[in-house]
Amino acid sequence: MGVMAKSQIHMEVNGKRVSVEVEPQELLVDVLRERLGLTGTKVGCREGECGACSVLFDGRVVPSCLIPAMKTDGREITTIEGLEQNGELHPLQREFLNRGAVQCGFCTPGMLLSAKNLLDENPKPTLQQIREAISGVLCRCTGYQKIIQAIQAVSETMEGKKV
Amino acid sequence: MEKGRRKIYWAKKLSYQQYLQVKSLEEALQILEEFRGEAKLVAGGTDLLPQMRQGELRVKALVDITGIPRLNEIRFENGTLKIGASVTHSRIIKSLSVLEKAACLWEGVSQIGSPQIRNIGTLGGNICNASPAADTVPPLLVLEGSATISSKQGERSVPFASFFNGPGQTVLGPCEILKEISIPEPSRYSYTTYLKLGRRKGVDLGLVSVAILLKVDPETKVCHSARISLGSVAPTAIRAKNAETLFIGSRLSESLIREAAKTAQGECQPISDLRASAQYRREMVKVLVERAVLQFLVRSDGGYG
Amino acid sequence: MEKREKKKVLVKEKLLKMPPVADELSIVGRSAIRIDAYDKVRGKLKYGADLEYPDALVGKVLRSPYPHALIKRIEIEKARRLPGVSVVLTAEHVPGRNGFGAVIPDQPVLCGDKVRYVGDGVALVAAETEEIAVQALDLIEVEYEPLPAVFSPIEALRPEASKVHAKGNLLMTARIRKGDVEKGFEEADLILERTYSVPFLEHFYIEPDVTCAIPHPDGTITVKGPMQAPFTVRRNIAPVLGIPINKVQVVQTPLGGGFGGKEDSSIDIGARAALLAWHTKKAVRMEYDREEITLSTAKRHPMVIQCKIGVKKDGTLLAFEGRIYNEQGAYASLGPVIPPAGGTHVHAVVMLPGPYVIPNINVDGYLVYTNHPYGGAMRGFGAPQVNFVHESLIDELAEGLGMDPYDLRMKNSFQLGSETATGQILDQSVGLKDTMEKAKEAFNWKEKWRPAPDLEELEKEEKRKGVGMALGWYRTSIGTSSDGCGANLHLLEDGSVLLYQGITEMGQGAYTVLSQIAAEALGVAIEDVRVITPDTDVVPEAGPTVGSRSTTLMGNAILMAAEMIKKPLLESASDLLGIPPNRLIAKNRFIYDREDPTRCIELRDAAKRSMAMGRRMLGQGWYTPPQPSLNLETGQGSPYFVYTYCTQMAEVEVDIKTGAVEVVKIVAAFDVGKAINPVLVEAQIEGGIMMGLGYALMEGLILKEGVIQNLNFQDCMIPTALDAPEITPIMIEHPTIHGPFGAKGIGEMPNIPTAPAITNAIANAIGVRIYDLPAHRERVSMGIKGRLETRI
Repeated sequence: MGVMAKSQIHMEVNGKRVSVEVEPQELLVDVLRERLGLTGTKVGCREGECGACSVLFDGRVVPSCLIPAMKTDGREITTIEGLEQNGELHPLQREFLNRGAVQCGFCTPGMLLSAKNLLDENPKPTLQQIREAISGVLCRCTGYQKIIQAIQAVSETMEGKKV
Repeated sequence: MEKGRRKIYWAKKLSYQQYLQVKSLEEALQILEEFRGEAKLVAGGTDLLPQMRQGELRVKALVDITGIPRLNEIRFENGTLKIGASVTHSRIIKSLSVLEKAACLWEGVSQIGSPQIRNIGTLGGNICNASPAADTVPPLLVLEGSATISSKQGERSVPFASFFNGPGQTVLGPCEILKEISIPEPSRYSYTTYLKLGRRKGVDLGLVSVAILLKVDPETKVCHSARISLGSVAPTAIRAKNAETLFIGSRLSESLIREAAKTAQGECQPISDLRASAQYRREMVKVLVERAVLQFLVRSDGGYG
Repeated sequence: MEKREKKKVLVKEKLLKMPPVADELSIVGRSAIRIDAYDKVRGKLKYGADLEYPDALVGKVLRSPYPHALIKRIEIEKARRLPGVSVVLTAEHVPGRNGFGAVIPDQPVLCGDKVRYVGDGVALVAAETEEIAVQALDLIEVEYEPLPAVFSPIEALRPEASKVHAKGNLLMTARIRKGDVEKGFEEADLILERTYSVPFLEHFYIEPDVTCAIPHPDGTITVKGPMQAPFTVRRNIAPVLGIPINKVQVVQTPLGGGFGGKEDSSIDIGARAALLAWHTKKAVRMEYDREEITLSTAKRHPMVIQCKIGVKKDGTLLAFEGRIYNEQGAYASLGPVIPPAGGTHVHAVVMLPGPYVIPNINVDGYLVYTNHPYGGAMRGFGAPQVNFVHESLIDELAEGLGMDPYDLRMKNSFQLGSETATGQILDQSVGLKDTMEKAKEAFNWKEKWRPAPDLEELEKEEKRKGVGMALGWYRTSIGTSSDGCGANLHLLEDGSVLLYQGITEMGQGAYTVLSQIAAEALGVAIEDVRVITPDTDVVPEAGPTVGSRSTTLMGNAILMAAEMIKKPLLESASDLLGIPPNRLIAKNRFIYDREDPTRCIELRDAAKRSMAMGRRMLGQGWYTPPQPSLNLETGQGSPYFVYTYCTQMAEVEVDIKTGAVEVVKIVAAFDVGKAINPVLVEAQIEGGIMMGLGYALMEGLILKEGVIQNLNFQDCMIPTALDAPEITPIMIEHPTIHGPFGAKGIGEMPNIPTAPAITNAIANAIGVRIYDLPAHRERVSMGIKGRLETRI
């Protein structure tokens, strides 16, 4: 089997500094879920195709099922749990709630974080850009309609301000 | 892999034993040598990790080279665009230099995967994975780019035309690292584009893809240079050289374009797989070559032919 | 005293703002925000895989790599001795019945003598970590002797075909015999004969199957995980372990999608985890990988359907003949009949002629075992397959007659009083023609529709638009005689409510809708209702959450339960107000005099009074729908008591050179009886249509020699956001007397006619008919090529 040397990694998760001892094979999604108790990030395929495991890695949306935990040393991770601030829902979360953009909810974290990444980089996206931004998250329930409408609504009300 | 007969299960834990993050090429090369072929370089891991999960690959160590500064640079010097192997697809898409000086590569990269994949996947990774359907390769072939390969013995440069040996196979030795991708800026009046056909509008591997570079004199309207590369229709991406010669020295016209597209069709060797049949792929080569060139006719001032 | 006066004034002001009509609904019919959305958007809701079981072992299944083989020998000693392995189990370790299945328990928990499909379970391992469990799988040695396998129903029906099960490959037949088809065809002016085929489909719910089985010292066992039918899981696990049903507790966790798949995948994973827990005497957690789910769990039945239809030149349908070869796969799952009209096969047979009045019908349906993965329940339950057939057929018929396909459908489609293929008279709630008219208007059908292009037009264009439509009808509930369900409602002394019911929440919004019904019925606010998680030890039998039955059947049970508490509650209010109970209305947390709304009290005060007076505060409802009937020889009877109807219209643009189909927009109108929560209904419509779009254009498993070639998302396509068209949902209400506030089901209807609406639009765009799904780019392209070559 060989020696499996563990490593200490230090990262910032949702604004908090965190230290974890990880094995080389541990993936970010499993560290978040099993070691840090942040189960909002989901496992859907372990191939980077479904987007349920999406997190923000230094602000950019990535498939955490394909990222060895050791890669996260010194980096900033934002999970779905980090989207709300001081108990206040992020505007994206509010719009999803109000517009019926949530059904089974399994893709919701991936959708919200993909949308956040989009609006952070492009505060006034076109319809096509919104679709493109969430093209990496598969949803089997909603048909994407209300999710797209929710994101559009937020981009319109935010008027270019950073969310 | 004979899917029907091997043990059927998947495991969370991948088979490698060590994950080594390096800060320099020298360090990486040293480790490759120590592991004698049982270590694999990894950057984004978007192809590597899924392959390991499916049991297609077993290695002792992964060597993460994303921390090597030199491999993360995009520079333009002496008429050559140089992109480090670890530059992510997202960064390439954000780069004005790439958009301006290597448009078809920009277009190819923007059609890779999803935002998630593009934020960690790299140019070098896509090249070294060497899928016959890789979106970066046909553009690199028409741009006549070359690879800078580092080893303990020094550096060598290999044109991408000679870089691929077969599906998943490159000229890289077990102790060599792709360091940089060099692309000479196309001369004036060059037009490049990349078209890809998948199974749906969303993310997909290409069934067929085409990259072209055309250089047409704006005064005489004569085509001085034509490069056509086809992806997913041969063991590696190829140049359709016979089709190219039809263009050179001629004025572009719809009938010429159709003839060249038909010629290109004859130069590919597609296979039938679960994604598409060889026959369909062959048909689509013609369609995409026609479209890529006709797009140019439409975009440029006035019409031709 | 003063405080009470103040309160009364405030209350009075509030009441004056209320609508004057006392009987108007205040909660039902409103788009209330779903009650679980807050936790879902924050990532706080715990799904099955999020629950911690600190001491649980990890379970894994060893699966057959052969589609059909004898098991000569299994060697488990090496695996057993691996440090960290708790148990390794084979067929001989099953204490009770080595079989499970939603209808017929013909699927072995672990195969003993032979395996019947690639993925069949052969051994189980429980170990301390997944890594060790996987190593143990590697150490198990199985010697197989491959047997000849059958891979299609037609192949399997041949007399010399290899037998999947000893009793033979023909699992069942169902027929319709109505009128005289020979005479009908004789009188027809136009007859069409066509053959259609549709593939295996995978649900691809994004949340993988997962479960945890926890054995208790008192001999009971708990199984916890996402499932659509906790009671079915319970009644399957008990006999496997050889214990009475009351010793098995099944607890549902919120589902990340089900679509019918988790109706029986949960039995599979639950029974296996339970078996391991039984032997290890420790909790065992089992999670299926994505590929494992595609490989081994139930699918949508593939079918080959041959049809013949005859029509008079004025458009009157005269005769219909059909033959369905329905591929069941290796095990029965939800294919065969649950008497009288349950099961996928019977449903498909009965629905094949479509929502049209046709006097002469013959249908023969054969349900056949093969050595492939098995068909189970998938949204629509046989209807999407047959709907594709009848809507394609009638569309082509219209073309043959030179008629607008809308007009041909309008002429023959069901309306109030129509007789169906089974001789059932539709005596209430038939909004089909209404949905047609609404869709036509919103879509602008008459402006957009023109005949398909001739060759000249086809040759000169790069892209071409087309429009297509399809009608659909779908039953509410499942047509079995055992279709009852119960609900318990407990009003507490402060006016809050506990709702004990067993319908599962899988994203469709059941908990919200049922809470709305309960709140409306009792007069409380929706926030006052707390839905108790379906736990078979605690909630009454509910039946499965399938067949679009939840709102209607469980809604009725809730209304019955509410009625039991309402009477004593109004009596208590009457005590306090001095007004006879028959003048009192309970609404929005108040109980007031219908004739003078200012005379009122808060509902909670009445509840407190009920408690103080020992009056009933617990209500129970048990709803049994009207008994279905169906004669399997003649296909005559009333198999389902009410139907939902819809019309879908699609606009597509076909890239003539590549065959790529872009769906530009879809307008879909539904008669839902009553939209309890309009936004949730819209959401079901939009989601279902996307599934139908996937069926039309890109989905389908590819099998070679019994092996699925496309197991994961990269190889098997489902629609992404980039593939989504503009969708306009329209809801119409033709209430049913059988549903709460008139409501019928909606869950499955939306994904049923979408595929033919799209393929009919493709035919309209390019003059090429699609007879086999999916209409992927290559198929469409080859169709165009064929048309250009044959010059038709």
